[in-house]
Amino acid sequence: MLTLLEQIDKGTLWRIPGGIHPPEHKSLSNQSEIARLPLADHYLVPVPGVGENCTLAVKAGDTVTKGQPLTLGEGFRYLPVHAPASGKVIAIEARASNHASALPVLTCVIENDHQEQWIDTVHAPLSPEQVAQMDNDAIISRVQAAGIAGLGGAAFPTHIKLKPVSDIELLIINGVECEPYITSDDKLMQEACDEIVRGIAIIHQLLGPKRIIVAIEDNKPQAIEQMSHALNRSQLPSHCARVSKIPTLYPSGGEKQLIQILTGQEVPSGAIPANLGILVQNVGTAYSITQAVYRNMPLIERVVTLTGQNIAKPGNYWVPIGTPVEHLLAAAQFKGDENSPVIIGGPMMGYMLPNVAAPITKGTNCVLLPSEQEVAPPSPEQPCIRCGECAQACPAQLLPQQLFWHAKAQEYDKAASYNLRDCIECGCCSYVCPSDIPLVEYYRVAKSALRQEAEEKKQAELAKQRFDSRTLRLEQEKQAREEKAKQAAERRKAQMTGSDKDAVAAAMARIKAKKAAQEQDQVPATTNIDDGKGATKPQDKVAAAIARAKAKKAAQKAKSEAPASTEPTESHQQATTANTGEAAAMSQKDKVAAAIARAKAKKAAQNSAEVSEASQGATQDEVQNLGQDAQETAPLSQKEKVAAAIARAKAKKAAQAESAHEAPPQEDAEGEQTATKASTPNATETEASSPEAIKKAKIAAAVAKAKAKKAQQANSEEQVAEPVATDEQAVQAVPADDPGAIKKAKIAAAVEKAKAKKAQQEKTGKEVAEQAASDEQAIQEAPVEDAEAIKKAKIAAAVAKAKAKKLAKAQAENPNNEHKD
Amino acid sequence: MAFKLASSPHLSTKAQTRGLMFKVMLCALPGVLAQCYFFGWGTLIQIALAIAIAIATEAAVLKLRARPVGKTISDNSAALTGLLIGVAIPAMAPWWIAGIGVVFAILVVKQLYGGLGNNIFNPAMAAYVMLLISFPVQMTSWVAPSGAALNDLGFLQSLSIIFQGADAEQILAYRAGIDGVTMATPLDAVKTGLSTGLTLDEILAKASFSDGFGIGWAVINLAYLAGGLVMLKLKLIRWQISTAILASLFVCASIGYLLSPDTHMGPLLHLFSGATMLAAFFIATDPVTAATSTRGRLIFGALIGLLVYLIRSFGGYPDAFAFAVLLANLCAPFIDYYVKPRAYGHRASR
Repeated sequence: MLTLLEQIDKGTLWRIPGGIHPPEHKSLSNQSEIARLPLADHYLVPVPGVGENCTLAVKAGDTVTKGQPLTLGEGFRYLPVHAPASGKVIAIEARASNHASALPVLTCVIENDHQEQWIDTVHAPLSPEQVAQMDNDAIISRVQAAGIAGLGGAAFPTHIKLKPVSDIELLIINGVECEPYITSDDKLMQEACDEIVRGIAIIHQLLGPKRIIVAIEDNKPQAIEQMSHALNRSQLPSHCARVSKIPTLYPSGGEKQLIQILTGQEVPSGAIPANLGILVQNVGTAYSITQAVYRNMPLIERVVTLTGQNIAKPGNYWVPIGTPVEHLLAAAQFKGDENSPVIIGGPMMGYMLPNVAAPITKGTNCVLLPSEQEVAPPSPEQPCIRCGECAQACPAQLLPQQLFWHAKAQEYDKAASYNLRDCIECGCCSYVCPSDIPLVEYYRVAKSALRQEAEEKKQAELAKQRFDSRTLRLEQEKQAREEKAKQAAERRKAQMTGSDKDAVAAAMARIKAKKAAQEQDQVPATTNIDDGKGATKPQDKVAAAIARAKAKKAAQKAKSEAPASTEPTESHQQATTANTGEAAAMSQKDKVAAAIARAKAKKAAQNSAEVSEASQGATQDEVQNLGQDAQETAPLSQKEKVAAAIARAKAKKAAQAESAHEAPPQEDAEGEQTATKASTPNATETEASSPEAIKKAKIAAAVAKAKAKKAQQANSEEQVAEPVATDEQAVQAVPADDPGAIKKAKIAAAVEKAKAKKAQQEKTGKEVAEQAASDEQAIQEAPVEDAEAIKKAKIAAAVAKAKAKKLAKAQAENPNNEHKD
Repeated sequence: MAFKLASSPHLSTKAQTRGLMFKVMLCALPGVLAQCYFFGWGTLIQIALAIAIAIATEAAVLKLRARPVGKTISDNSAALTGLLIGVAIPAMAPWWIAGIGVVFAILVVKQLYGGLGNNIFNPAMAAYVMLLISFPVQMTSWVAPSGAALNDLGFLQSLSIIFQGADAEQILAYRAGIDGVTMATPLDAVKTGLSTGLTLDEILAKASFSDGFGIGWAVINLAYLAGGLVMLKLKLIRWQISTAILASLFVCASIGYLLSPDTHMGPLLHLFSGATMLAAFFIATDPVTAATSTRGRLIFGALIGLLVYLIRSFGGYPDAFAFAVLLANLCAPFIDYYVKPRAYGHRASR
């Protein structure tokens, strides 16, 4: 097997499938030298890139020189345009474009002053040696600055092609010119072969391809000869560059087809020749590269074939880019009327120009002005008979009849599945169609529909993305809001559930406390019946009426709570006793605090300080602190406490002497309020026994009130009020999470009140008070764990209380009356 | 600008469907003349009748469909269908045979499917099969080809037989007037002979083959072959289908003949008897109902050749082109779908 390069060197050519031999009509225009027509008065230079990658360098009214750039731009894709003549910019506005649609594009209108004043950057030609010393970047920047675009028709910026993505092994110079009528490349090759070869040498210098082929169809023998000679004359290595004569067949000049003919390779669908290491440049482009690099001359004119039987002077002309087509028609003596077609490009791939005011562009190689005999108006389309001639003619080996079938039915996706996008729109299928079906037109419609579809799909995809992200964002915001709300709710709930729990705990604690209280009451009663039964049977042994009343109340409470407590199993009871221990510990502390507070208050009172001041001044914190202090000091200061109790009694007496009536009721009212406050939330929040709880609370409050009244009656308001107040403050100070403790504290307070009353009632109450105090102290000192001990202590205390009460009763009436004021 | 803007390309070949169809008809002329020579005026009368009915039917249907009548008729496709039916039915078949066949072909097989380019089946062959199944007696009443057919039966006589019908006596008299033997085609004779247990040599040795009976059909086939070659030369048809049919038939017949020469016709007898050349060049090449790609056409043709051989050798009908073509028509879209050429720049898929 020969390598590709060897085959190329052998001159092997490959066949392309399909292709047609339309009448050439080249002799119309190739009989004369490339000439010049009179210059136009106005030039129209489209500046479509303005706003995309460049800005206008001139404004209306500016004077321009020939070759002056009209745009300023940056970036590698920028392609400048230049003034084709010196003169004045008279307008920059939208004008009809050189396009099948003639849609207006932004155009620089230049009034020719016919001075032909060149821009001064254009210089005398450099020598080939000087060019050989230029570096690649300098060459490419000159090519870019000259605004060179592919002159074969596609007008792709040449400097981009000269910086290919991969190494170029084969450079093909396309001089095939397979379209009928067109001879501009043919004539250029004949007349400017040396310049073209110099351009080829520049590309060779840039890219260093291993082989250079100048491909020319065999119907241009003169061009072949001229180019061969020029190549031989050139500095290019002789083994590397040669002219390849290829058989005349339309569309051999198509880039892909030419590559296939010369190399047998196919450009993969969707790829570019550079992927194969091949670069194809038009001969006219090579010429322009020479002009740009040797003379720094911008691309402002090109060879245009003016041909067709509707023109008197067909031929090739150097036409400044921007010349209006109508000027050319007038200059070359157009014979047709306004209905005659004006075709830009060849008869196979050119398009009819709807507006002859449009200018010649860099890609315009031919203006065809055919008579009706040459190009007849399209005959009506007939049904496709599936003769398959189109498939035979298709150089891309498509199935045009299938494409047509689907394109006509607007099944564009199916048309796409028949490789519609590989259609090069050469027109062979339409040419051979016996039914005169404008196949290419169908394909163009289908292609643009597919493009639009793809674009819409892209837009829809973008819209979907936007929508999705918006939905996501909204969802996130919603979630964030919900999270916030949830957190807030949880906070609330936490507070609530906290109090719920507290409520439950409180209820439990209450139950325990009551049980404990019950036991307290029951044990002295020495009843062998448990629960409410014993309580309902008051024992005569208990002498003190108050104690009895208390016991009854407690029993009532216990009774009402007993049903509420579920299944009093042993374990449950154990649990409750354990809890009772804790609760007792809490109450103990409170009691200690209360006692100390009391003692201190009493001391204060003793020191003839203002009672109200002391009670009012005792803030919650202080009380707490005091309580803590007391707790700390309690074990140590028993004696002191005894002393304090004695002092208390003294203080009471002292207080009796004074008269401060106003505060206590207030305090009591407050106490009542707090009592209800404390109990109400518990009651409302406890599901199981809320009415009972409320009831109890009320009862407790009533008891408290009753006690308070008694205390008032006892005429020793200050002393009583003081501990009550402090106790209540302590109650308030007790953390919210332990209502049970509060209750105990209240109970304790109530007990103290009762004691105080007793003390008051008793003229010789000191001893009792002392005992009670010491009892209390005993209680306080009892270890937290030892619930039994507490119980006993409490029992003892209760007994003591009962005794005290008895005593008080016995000595009864007089003191009460005495102290009434 | 008043000039209608046209999309490229602006050039077109002068080839037109109407010219294509007309040229095909002209190329059928040698075969038609040969048939006339061997079967008398009846052939021409049948052809003219069929073409007239075809055009009339087409015009009527187009009018009903509110389509341009004149333009469509001028594409000559209906006339070609008429011609093919005319040459396919026996020369002396009653007029209504051609009438029913052509109306069926144009109305049902072609226009009901949407007209030219949209029909699935070859109209002439579909009509032929319909007639063969519906009117087997009339459709198989071929007289023996005779060199004096044109003289034996005058034009007016032929007309009257075709149009006024012939009672049994007239037919008998007519047939007796020719050679006294009612003859089927050679293929029919071979089929019948083989089914009665005769060997091929014995059948061919019979008198009917020796007196030019087989020669007549061979000449007709040669005439159609000549017309077909002209069509190839004029590029009215592509070579693939015809070549594939003949090659496939030849190969199959050769294999059969080599395996069992006594019970299988030789390849030449296959190629030059019956409707072989007519079908290979004028019928199976109908582009509308054939496969379109080069490879597809080869497959299409080979399939027809194979089916013809199978039906002729093992089927119930002496000739088989109509059935083979219709079956291949059914396969054409399938073939086209799976035999796509590899497009430029694409790797060979499948």
